[in-house]
Amino acid sequence: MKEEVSPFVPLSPATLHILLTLAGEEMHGYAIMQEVQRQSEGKYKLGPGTLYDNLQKLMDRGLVEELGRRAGGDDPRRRYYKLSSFGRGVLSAEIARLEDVVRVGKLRLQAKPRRA
Amino acid sequence: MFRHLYRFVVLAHPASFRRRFGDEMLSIFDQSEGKLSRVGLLADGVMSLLRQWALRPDFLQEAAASTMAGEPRFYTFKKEKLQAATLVYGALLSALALNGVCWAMGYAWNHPTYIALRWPVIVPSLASSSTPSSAGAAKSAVTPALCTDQGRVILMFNAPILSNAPIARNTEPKKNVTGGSLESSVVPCPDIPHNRVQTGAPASAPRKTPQRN
Repeated sequence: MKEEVSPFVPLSPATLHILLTLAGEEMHGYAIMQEVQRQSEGKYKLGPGTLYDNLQKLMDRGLVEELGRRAGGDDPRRRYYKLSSFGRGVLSAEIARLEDVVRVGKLRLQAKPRRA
Repeated sequence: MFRHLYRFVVLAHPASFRRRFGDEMLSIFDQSEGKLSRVGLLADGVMSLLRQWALRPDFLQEAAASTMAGEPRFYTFKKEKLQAATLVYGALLSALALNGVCWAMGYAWNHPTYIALRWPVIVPSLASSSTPSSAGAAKSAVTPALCTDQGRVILMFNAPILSNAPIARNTEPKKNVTGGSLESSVVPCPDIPHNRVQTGAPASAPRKTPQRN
């Protein structure tokens, strides 16, 4: 599994935010945009062009699956997307990598600088 | 108006991307509120348009793979993606070609080519001429060919004089745009063979159908 996900990490910020958003539940594009903005506290805004360009790449690579449209009171033009099991593995590998980065960073910052 | 512009931007995307996400992009635009938000979405759409055409040419492979009645619509020379470096090379080659054309035009402008043309001359008959001596003068008197270096491609017409009236040649020096004299640049053209065509047509005959030797 680690060998399979290694080409995908590190993830770009947009890809990471999209996968994090879809890890909770299946969503449509507009909900993904709003959730990404909420997660980043308004610091990272995702436009439709960037969102669907990344979704297209993620679906082509099998990280995200399209569920299609849903009947009901919702906008019929909306399509829903969900994280695949492979995408969940890639996201887990990326989070593990980030945890290592954070751990090493904390150690380096806590260590006292040596005098020459 | 913003929606029409955004719809146009969406429609300008590659067909595969437009079919897959065009409706959703319009749906998101319809839910946006505020002029600033719509301007931002429009700018994002333009950036997406450039990105899809320049950096995501997967639609070329899809179009090549799609078939019409079992036959491919068109073939591509290469199967791999169009690289950004290819676009840069193409831009450089285009700039070099344009530079070469401009250089050739400038070279031709600074190196004039002298072209001598022979003007057909219609000499009036002796019977219709009021002054018999003018016909003889037409046969003998010929304007000296003049050429100038002011023009770049100079057409020199060579025709005989049809009357005894003196030819006014640069009696007053003309001033060009820069204030210089044009008269000084007019020089006799060397070795221009002149040709005279004598016909029996009257002097009043129209010159629409000149005779050439």
